[in-house]
Amino acid sequence: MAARPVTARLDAVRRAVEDDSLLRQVADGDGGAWTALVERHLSAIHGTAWYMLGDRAEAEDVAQETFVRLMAKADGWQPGRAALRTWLHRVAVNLCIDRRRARRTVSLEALGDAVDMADDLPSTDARIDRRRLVHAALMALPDRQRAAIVLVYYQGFSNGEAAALLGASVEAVESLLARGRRSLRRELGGQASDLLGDS
Amino acid sequence: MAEDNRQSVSDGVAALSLDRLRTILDAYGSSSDDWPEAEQAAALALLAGSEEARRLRDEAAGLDAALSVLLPPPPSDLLRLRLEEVPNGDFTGDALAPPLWARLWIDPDLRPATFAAAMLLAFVVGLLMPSPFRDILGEPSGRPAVADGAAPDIATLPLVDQGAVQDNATETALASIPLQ
Repeated sequence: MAARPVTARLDAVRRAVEDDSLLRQVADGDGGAWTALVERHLSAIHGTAWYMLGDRAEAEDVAQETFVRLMAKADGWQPGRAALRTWLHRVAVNLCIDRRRARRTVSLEALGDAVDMADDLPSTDARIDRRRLVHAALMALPDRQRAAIVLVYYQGFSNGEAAALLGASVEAVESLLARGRRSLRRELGGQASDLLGDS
Repeated sequence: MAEDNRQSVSDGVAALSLDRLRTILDAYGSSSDDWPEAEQAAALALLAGSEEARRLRDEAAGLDAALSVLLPPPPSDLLRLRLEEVPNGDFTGDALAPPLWARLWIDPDLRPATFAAAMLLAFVVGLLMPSPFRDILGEPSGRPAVADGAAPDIATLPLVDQGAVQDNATETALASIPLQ
């Protein structure tokens, strides 16, 4: 998020320090530390990959590859240089964008299946349809606009963190977010005005 | 009162245009906690005094609500198993995959096929198993031994009665004689 309460920022710093400590233990061969690191970050990384790719199996592949790269990096990790959470998301987002470039098209049918699999709450057909529409609209965005929305809206990164992560200026991230959200509003407003609270 | 792009408030916070508020709402959504810290106060002041600003915020809140319906699935147990293997050294290919027997049950995509295969296997094994009655009587095939005067055990009777087969053959031979 753009501005976070002081307590949230302190919490982020505390978690980053803990991550650095765990990584040091991983480098020393501590399997328990590795499990703890995976547990702390897997859901977020997997979620980001799923929002980016719209496919559960591909999201799992990206999450796995991201953690494999982390293991390879553990020995040379420099504490305090970058937050692990940011580093992991940068790797995951880049892997997702590479995959999207390789694939280019996503069928709406596949998107529907992905949303069905995500349906872990008591659902009605209408709710699943809404998820399909929102997911399809999100997947139709250009990669960097979608990445900005996923990082800031769904993963709670500040605009500054998202800018560092995407290798862009804060203004550029703001522009990506604004253009992305306008496209989503246009798309969803045309297909399902009730989604936007118009009914 | 007509509202223009330079609308501002004069209670000590910097002025914010409606255009700028629109960009903030477009970029960061309707919650003021998510807005750039330096512009929060001015944006809130503008919202307090402008109906158009509030309309824009409600519009952004609608999109926030729409986006919030989308939740990712949790990582699978299979993925967790693979990641547990990462410290063991081999980071690529099949080395990260759990054994086939484990995948057959853990992978939700394979689970129905595993269940169906198990049912089929159980059925085939059931067919191939010798009857316990044959074991008891010591006669695996042919007519069952029946003690004099005792009724035959129906479970030991062959599926096709040889006498009935002979009777049917006689009837077929008779049917082939042309009627006068």
